[in-house]
Amino acid sequence: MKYATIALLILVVLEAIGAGIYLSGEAARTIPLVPTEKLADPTIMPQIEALAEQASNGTANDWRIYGEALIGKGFYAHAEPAFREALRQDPENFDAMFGLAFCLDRMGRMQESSVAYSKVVQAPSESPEQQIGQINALFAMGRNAQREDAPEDAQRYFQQNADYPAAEYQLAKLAIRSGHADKALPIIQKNLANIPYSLGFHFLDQRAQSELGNTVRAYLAAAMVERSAYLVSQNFNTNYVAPLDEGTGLSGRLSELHLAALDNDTSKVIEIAEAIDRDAADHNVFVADLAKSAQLKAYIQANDTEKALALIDQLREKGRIDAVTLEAEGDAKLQSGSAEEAVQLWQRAVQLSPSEALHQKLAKQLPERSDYHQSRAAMMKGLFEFRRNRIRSAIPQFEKAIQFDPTNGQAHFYLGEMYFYLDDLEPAAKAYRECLKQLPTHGRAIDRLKFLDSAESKTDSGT
Amino acid sequence: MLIRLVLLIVLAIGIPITAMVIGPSLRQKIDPAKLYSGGTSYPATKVPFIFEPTQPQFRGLPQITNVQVVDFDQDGQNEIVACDSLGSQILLLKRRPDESWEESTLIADVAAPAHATVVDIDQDGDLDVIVSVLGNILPDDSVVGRVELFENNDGEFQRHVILDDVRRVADVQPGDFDGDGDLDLAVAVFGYSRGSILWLENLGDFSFRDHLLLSAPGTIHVPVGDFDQDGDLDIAAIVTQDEEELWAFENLGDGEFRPRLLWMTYNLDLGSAGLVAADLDQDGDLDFILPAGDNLEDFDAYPQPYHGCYWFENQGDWKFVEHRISDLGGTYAASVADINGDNYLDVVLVSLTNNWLNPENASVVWLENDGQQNFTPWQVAAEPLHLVTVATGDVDGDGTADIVSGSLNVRRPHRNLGRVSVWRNQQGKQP
Repeated sequence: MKYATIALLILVVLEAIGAGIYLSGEAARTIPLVPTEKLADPTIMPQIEALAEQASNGTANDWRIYGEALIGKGFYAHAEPAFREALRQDPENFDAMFGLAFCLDRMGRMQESSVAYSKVVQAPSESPEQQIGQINALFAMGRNAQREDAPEDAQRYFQQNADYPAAEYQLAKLAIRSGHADKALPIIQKNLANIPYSLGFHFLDQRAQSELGNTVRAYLAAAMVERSAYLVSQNFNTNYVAPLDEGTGLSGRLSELHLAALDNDTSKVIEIAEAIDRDAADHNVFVADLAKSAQLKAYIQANDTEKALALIDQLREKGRIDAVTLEAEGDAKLQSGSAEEAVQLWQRAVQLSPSEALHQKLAKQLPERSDYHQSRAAMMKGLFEFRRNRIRSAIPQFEKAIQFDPTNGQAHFYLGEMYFYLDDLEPAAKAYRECLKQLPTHGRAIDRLKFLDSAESKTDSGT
Repeated sequence: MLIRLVLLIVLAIGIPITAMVIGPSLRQKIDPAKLYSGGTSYPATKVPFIFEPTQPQFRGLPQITNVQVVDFDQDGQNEIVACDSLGSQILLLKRRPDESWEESTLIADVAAPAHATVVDIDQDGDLDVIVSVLGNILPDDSVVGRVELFENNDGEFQRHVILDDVRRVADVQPGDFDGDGDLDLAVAVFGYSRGSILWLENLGDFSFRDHLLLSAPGTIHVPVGDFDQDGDLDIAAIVTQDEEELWAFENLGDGEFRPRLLWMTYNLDLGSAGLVAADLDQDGDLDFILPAGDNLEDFDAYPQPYHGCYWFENQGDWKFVEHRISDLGGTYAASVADINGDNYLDVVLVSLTNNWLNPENASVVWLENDGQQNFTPWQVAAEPLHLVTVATGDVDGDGTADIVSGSLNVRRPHRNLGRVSVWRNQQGKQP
């Protein structure tokens, strides 16, 4: 009895200590705050509530995940305490540090945000992803300084982030804007050596050359802007938030749908789109509307005319009329044997948004206008190649466009452009002149010819 | 001894149970009222307004990109011309005597129209329509823009594509820039990563030659006016993508322009959203009013401390002094009118992305001008949300300036939706 009493006493003391520790721990914990906003996508809030529940009894990472889900839906103010709780539990939680800094950033609290970003920069990084996070955090500090109209501070942060193209872009821009275009040029040239078709750096080159009075070089830089497609990302926000947005609600399904559409997997597109429809029910879900174009194309590909026409009616009721719906309606009409109606609808669609596919369809159905449409289809193909900087592949397409319709002034212009970029100036000038025969008011062709005729261009054509 | 033992047993069982029961209740609750809350609301307007949606019932998520108050049919009564991006059409809204609105399609099949410029371009006595075609409402660097001119032939509109093969076009404004007696056009090619500002020289017979004024992405508006008061028309432009710059193109005559950078900010996140030219201080020259609050690059934009409205006071000789006159979060558009009938020009602002989680935050405000350009904000409405365009004018024929706005519902939350909305000014009327 005595031993039992002692044992019980020890147990009670231990329990009291344990209860004390437990209760003090509980007293330090925070109950997740769930937004009361009713979002149109009915699937979001139940998922957010489940993550809140998980966080309430979970670890720092559960709180971080909850915070990120809130950021994904724009609940920055609710995300802030979630990240703070994650950091209270685990002060070294890298992703929670970044999430907190980002919330503060997007709520316009630049100074607090920069302090939080600086903790990210100073934290030990354990993975390549975390190293990228630190580069982004330092870049965001520079952006915050710009947002506070403090160019010197911004410059300092961007200099610390040297070799990061986005930071160097901002550095070069700051130099140009502060009247030191000459200091911008080496930064621009270094980056163009690494990224020859960087749109942003060619744009800065154009501005810098212009500031320095180098008109010919500025002109050639402007031509490179038109030719370049590589975008140096100036804002990591979208890349950071997109996966967080996709984590809850129908946004993730939309990404799956777009992937299926890219794979041309018609049945999967239909399956996902119809599932989105069911989940969205009668709510005004913007994301669900974004799925409709792919859904419509999939119905047409699957020869499901009835469903395609029903969907078009549904979209009309919601006020949507555009090239996608008109083209699909035309396709459906052709599938149901009404070629005349199909042509009328395609003609409206091509007027709204010309495409190679639409011109091909019209060329097939309208023998008397076949050359016209085949010429435009070939030109669009040429433009597709040109926009991807495949100049030599574009030339035969523009030539084909001219063959089908010698009055196609735009095709002459772009043929001239291709030769201009290849520095083959004689055929370029010839093509521009042909363009002007068809389109005498074509300003860009006039400008090109003026440039080619100028003595300056003959003596100084390098960049 | 037994009592002690029983007590210990009770404690041994009771302590963990009590701790488990009490524990969760000790957790800290976050007071929602203490959450950070950006965004802005203001005292209720002292000028009364009656809210009048032009279409009380609608389905879907309307995307109205522009509204204007104009006497389109020239019958002495103003109508509303609206650009409907979702429906690829230009709408004409006429107010019926029973105070309902009749909506008709003025022009169909224009891809994501950003602006409809109503002007007698061929100078034949009727109003033609020039549509700034974005081609895509969403960010897109493709060559999908156009300027389409719709020639009014006794109410039938004949389409002339006067500028093609350009990126997204956001605005077109008319003016005789070369002094030859016909109307030329200033064009804002917004684009996305690439864009430009052009002027189109009218060569007659609906033929125009394009001239490049500036290569820069993100030009939203190109107001036209004699900003230097030298007797000819200049062009202004707000460039917003990455750069945040206010440009003017001084007309030197003979179709020559001198570019002038009037203002810029290092704040690449300002979000300039438009540009209005008006003589706000009524000193005889044209000032600029700049609404700022476009952060649509974010999935969920939030009001920023620098959002609002800026007045650039024209001090002559191309000097413009910046004054911040409003802090409305997510400001997207401005219009100038004398709202309270005191003969001073006030400013009406609408918000696209105020902090809508707070239902009190403003979507429409007017800034009362005391005549010394001190502005007092008055809240007209907190809904509909997502207002992207605003115009002022007398739509009910009572002589006061009413407010018309349009909703672009492309961001969360998708509630308190609007399409084309009217707030009828009741200043001076008996309650």
